[in-house]
Amino acid sequence: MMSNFPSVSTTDKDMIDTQYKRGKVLGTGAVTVESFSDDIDERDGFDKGYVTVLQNAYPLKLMMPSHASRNNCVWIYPVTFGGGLVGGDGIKMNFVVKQNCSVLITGQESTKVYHCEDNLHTYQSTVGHVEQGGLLCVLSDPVVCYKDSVFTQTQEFHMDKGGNLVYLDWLIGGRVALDELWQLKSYRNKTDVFVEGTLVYRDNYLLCDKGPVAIEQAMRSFQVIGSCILLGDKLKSVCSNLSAILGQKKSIGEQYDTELVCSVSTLNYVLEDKSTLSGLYIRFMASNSTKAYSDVVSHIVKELNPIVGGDPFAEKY
Amino acid sequence: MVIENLMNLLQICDSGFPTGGFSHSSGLEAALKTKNVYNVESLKQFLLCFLENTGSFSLPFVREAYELYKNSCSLYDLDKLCESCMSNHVAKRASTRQGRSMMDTSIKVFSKTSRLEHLYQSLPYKHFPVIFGIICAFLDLDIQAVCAAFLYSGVRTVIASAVRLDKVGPIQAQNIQADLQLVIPKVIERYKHYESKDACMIYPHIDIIQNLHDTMFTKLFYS
Repeated sequence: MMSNFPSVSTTDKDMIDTQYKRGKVLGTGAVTVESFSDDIDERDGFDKGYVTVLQNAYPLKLMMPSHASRNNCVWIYPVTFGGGLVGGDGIKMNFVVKQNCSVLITGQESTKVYHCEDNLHTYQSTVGHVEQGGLLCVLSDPVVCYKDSVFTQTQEFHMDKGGNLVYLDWLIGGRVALDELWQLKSYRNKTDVFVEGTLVYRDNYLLCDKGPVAIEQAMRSFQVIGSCILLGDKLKSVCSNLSAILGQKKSIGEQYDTELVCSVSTLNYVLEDKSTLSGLYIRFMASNSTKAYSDVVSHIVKELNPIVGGDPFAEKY
Repeated sequence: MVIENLMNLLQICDSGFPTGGFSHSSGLEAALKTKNVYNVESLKQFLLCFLENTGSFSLPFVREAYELYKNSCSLYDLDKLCESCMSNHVAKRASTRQGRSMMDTSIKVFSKTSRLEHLYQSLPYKHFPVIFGIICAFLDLDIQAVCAAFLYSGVRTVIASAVRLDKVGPIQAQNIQADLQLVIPKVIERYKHYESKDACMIYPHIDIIQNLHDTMFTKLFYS
C-alpha cells in the first residue's frame, strides 16, 4: 500500500513527458484579451475587450460566441471533442487578461473524466494572467470523475496589483445514475494564486483510493465537493454579499442542513508595498449537484451576473 | 535517544506545557454539530482522516523547519508558505495561536541563547508546525521522534476534546488513542518524501467542516 501511494512530487513535466512519448495528445489553447480604448463601460467597470491571440490544438477548442454577454465581458467556452477526457488526455490552457478587460471562462457541460488504464494520467492545466483593473472569472461546470479515473488539475493564476479573479471549481464523485460514487483512483487539485509574483494562496488536495479511509466512506452522502475563490477590489461588494448569504451564523437552536456544508473565510493579504488585497474563500459539499447549485453556486453566479453580463448556467441546473 | 532529550520531548508534549492545545478540537466540535460525527465509529474515522491530513499537510512543515533551524531566511519563507496554504481562517487561527504560545513558553522555559528570541521576532505568522520543528531542533531531538510526537500530540488533543464534549469516556478514549498510535509510523512513512511544496490535504472534507466553526451558535472550543 505504501509504495503505491501517489507522490505529489511528480512534476507536471514528468507526467507529460512519459505520457506523450506513448502517443497521447496534448490539447493546448491560449487566449489574450486586450482593449484599445479608455472608455470604461459604467455598467460593469471594464473596457471593450478584443481577442488578439487565439490558439487551439486538438482535442481542445476554444469558442467565443460574440453575443454571449450583455456587456464588455468576453465569454470563452473551452470545448473538448466528445465532451470528456479519455484516459491519458491532456489539456493546457493559458489566458491573458490585459488591463481593464474582463473575461469569463465557462463551459457547455460537465467535464467527464473517463477511466484510466496502464498507469495513464488525465491532466488539465490552466494558467491565467490578470493585469491591473482586469477580471478573470472562471465559472465552469463541474468535473465528473468516473470509476477508475486518474485526474490531475492544476491552476496557476498570476495577478498584477489591482487585478481581479474568480475561480469556481466543483467535482462530482461519479455517474450517480449508475450508482457509481467516489470510485475514482486519484484526483489531485492544486490552485496557486500569485500577486505581483508572490504566492498568496494555495489550495492543494488529493483524493485517492489508497488512503486508510475509502473516499466513498469519508464523503458519506456527499456527491459534490467544491470551492470558489474571489479576489480583488472590483469584487468587494460581491464578496461581502456572499459572505452574508453563505457564511451566516446559526441562531439559537438552529440545526445545520445535513445535506450541505458550506464554509466561508474572508481573505486579506498585505502586499509587499503595504497595500491590501481582500477576497473570499468558499468551500462546499452537497448531497447532489442540484443542491450544490441551488444553495451555493447560484448565489455566486447571481452576484457576478451584472459584472460578467449574464448567467452562464442559465437553465442548466 | 539520550535520556535528557527524551525528558525534553515528554515535557513539550505534556498537556501541562502551556501551548493552549486544550482549547482546540481541530474541527471535531463542528463535525459533531453538523452530524458528520455521530457515533464512536464515525469518530474513529474522523480521527483517521485528521491524522492523515496532519501527516500530508503539517508534517512536511515540521520536518523542514527542523532541518532549516539554522537558516532564518528559509524559516521566514517556510512560515509564509504555511500561511498561503492555510486559507481556512479557523485552522489558521488555531495554528498561529498555538505556535505563538509554544514559542513564548519555550523561550521562558528553555532559552539559554537568543536564537529562539531572534526567531520569535523575525517569523511573520508563527504557524504551529513550523514552530514545533524549530523548538525540537533547538532541543536537539531525533527527527523520527519529533514526527511521531507531532502526530501523537495532534491526535491526543482531538481525543481529549472528544472526552470533554462527552462523546467517549476516558478509558475508551485511551483505547482509541492506542489504536491510532499503531497507525502513526505508517503515516510518517507515507509522507516522508513530501516537502513543504507538496503539502496537501488527503481528506479535505474535515477541513471544510472545521471551517464552519465560527457559525455555531454555542461552542466550547476555539477551533
